[in-house]
Amino acid sequence: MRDLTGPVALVSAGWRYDEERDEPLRGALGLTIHNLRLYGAFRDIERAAPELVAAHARKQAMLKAIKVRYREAIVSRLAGIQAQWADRRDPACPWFRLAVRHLQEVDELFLAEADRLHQEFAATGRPFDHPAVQAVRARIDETLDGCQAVLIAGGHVGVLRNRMSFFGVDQALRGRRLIAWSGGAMVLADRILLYHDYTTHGVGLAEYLDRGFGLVPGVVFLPHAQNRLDLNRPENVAILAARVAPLRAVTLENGGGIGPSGQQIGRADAVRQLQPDGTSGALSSGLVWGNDAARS
Amino acid sequence: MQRVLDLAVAIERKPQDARRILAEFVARWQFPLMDSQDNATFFYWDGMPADAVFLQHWVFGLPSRQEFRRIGNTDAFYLPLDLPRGARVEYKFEVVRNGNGRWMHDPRNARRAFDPFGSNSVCPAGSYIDPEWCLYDPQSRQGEMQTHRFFSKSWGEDREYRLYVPAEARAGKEYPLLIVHDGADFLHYAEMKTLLDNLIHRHEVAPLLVCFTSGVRRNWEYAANPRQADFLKLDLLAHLQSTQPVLDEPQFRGLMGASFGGVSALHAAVRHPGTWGRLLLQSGSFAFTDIGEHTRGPMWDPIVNFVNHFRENPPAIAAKIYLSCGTFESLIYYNRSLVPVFQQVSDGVRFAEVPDGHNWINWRDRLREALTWLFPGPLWMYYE
Repeated sequence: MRDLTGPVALVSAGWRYDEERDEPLRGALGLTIHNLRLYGAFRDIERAAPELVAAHARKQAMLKAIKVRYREAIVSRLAGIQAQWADRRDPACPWFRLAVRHLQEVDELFLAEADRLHQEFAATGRPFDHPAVQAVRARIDETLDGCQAVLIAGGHVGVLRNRMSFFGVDQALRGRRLIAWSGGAMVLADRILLYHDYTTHGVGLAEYLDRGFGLVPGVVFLPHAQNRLDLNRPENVAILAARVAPLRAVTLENGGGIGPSGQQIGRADAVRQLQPDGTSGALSSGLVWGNDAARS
Repeated sequence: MQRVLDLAVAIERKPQDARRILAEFVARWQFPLMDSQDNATFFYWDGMPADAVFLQHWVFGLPSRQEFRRIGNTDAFYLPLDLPRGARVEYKFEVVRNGNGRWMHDPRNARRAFDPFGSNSVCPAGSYIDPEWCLYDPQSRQGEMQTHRFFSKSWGEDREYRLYVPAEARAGKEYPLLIVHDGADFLHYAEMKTLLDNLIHRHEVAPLLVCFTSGVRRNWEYAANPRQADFLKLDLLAHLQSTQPVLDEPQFRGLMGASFGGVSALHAAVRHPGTWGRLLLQSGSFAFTDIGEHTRGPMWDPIVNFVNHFRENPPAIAAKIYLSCGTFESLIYYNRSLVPVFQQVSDGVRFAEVPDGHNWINWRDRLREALTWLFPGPLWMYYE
């Protein structure tokens, strides 16, 4: 990042109403930053194309309804996995692997349903044909063409993914230099997994939000894992690693990250790859995506 | 306790120096003395003659008036008391002189808990800590407090309420609604504005509108009174729906109350089924009888009637209920007894019992667990 002289573009839609409060970032980087203002642009579209936004809201509501069933299915499948682990504590145990496969099937079904809803909306709503959306997309393309890199901040990962997808920013980012952190890194990966083991009401059951944009293939990022995941228990590590396989479950902590050739940056223990045997270690080789960096 | 025993030994050795030894002792330590995590020793000495000292507290199950022991021939007194882990005890001293008892705060303990009747001294067990989420946090965005008046048909008079509007409120967006009984007291004694700011800012609780209403003839209005139930739905809710951006489904509407306020909230949910999808009931005064008459006085008659009927034939009420009670309260029996009844009519019941009493700090300390259960925020989705 030190070679950047600016300007750079910023996606901070995950900050929602605070999207444009990017002064601290400007101050820290000392670069000219062009905020793509996706959250604000969507608010503008709500006024300019209410029928399109209504169709989008219907799609999101259907996704939410499917998610209720998905969560119900996760509860029983996860209980099955935990029971198998408690019996043998052996990730090679065929019953454990079978139980994981059952959960993976549930995950696959949900993601396929989400794909179907997104595709239906794209085919019937045709958002990219709407003049108001086209105007925003043209502005985004023009901005990106004048920037050295694109920064993608975290925040509300659902809103971030949703807004980027609505305006086709995921497509516009291909081939560009990307620097993403926290939720921003999550959306660039193949899949977006939600997790929190320390909520007021106990352990939340991890679930997929949706597919990521696949700009960083082969991984599921787990930012702030130390604060959000109980990785001291080998079964938690083993189950997470086995569940996301063949993708890699990779933690991202403050002070470290991964470069475009898969090399670790900063603090050595900030990036850990969860292993199916219940341990975690350094990132294994073979992770190359050509973008700049993903950080927590 | 050991420190008091050492003190007694020192005085016994040099009784002529008792006054100096006591002065040094009170200057050295904080009171009540905590010998270990949860063993408290209360201490009283003001340098003047006293006949006796008593501890007055509000812990159900213990004698409410416990006599201190005198140290030698001095006018210093002490009383050891084991506290449950994490407990908070509110108390006063009664100092008897010339046959006359006078209640007072513990003069050597600055910690106070306030309520509408005044304040008490507070003895937190060593393992109790004030939750950080209810303390002012400059990072948290400040919601806005508004004051409104409107005419209530049910009461035939104007009623005032205060409305909490979350910092993120934006035109065109609608929000869940929570109506709070004894609202002015919850704001004043339970720091509810501060903790709402914190919990919403941290994404633990959904941004919501909170209406703080207070009774005028409070105990009568809140004692399972049908006019109060009608006031809440037909007057206050209708008024809020016409003037504020509130979401219109029951799962986004909550009622909350403590003590008699808890009774009013439950009664309103029973009288108007399908209206309130979330109930937050703290130390509810849910007195009932299995046989015979109750002995709590005529003000409780409608409550006992209501709860007896509710237990006999519990109707489906809110989809989610949060219930809490202190184990030092006489009401713990009633609240525990209602948990299985609530579980018959709701799949989403959470019950918490804690070593605390019938007081605002107890109710404040439960609000994170309660609000995150009833109105969970998007914490799950935030990675920043």
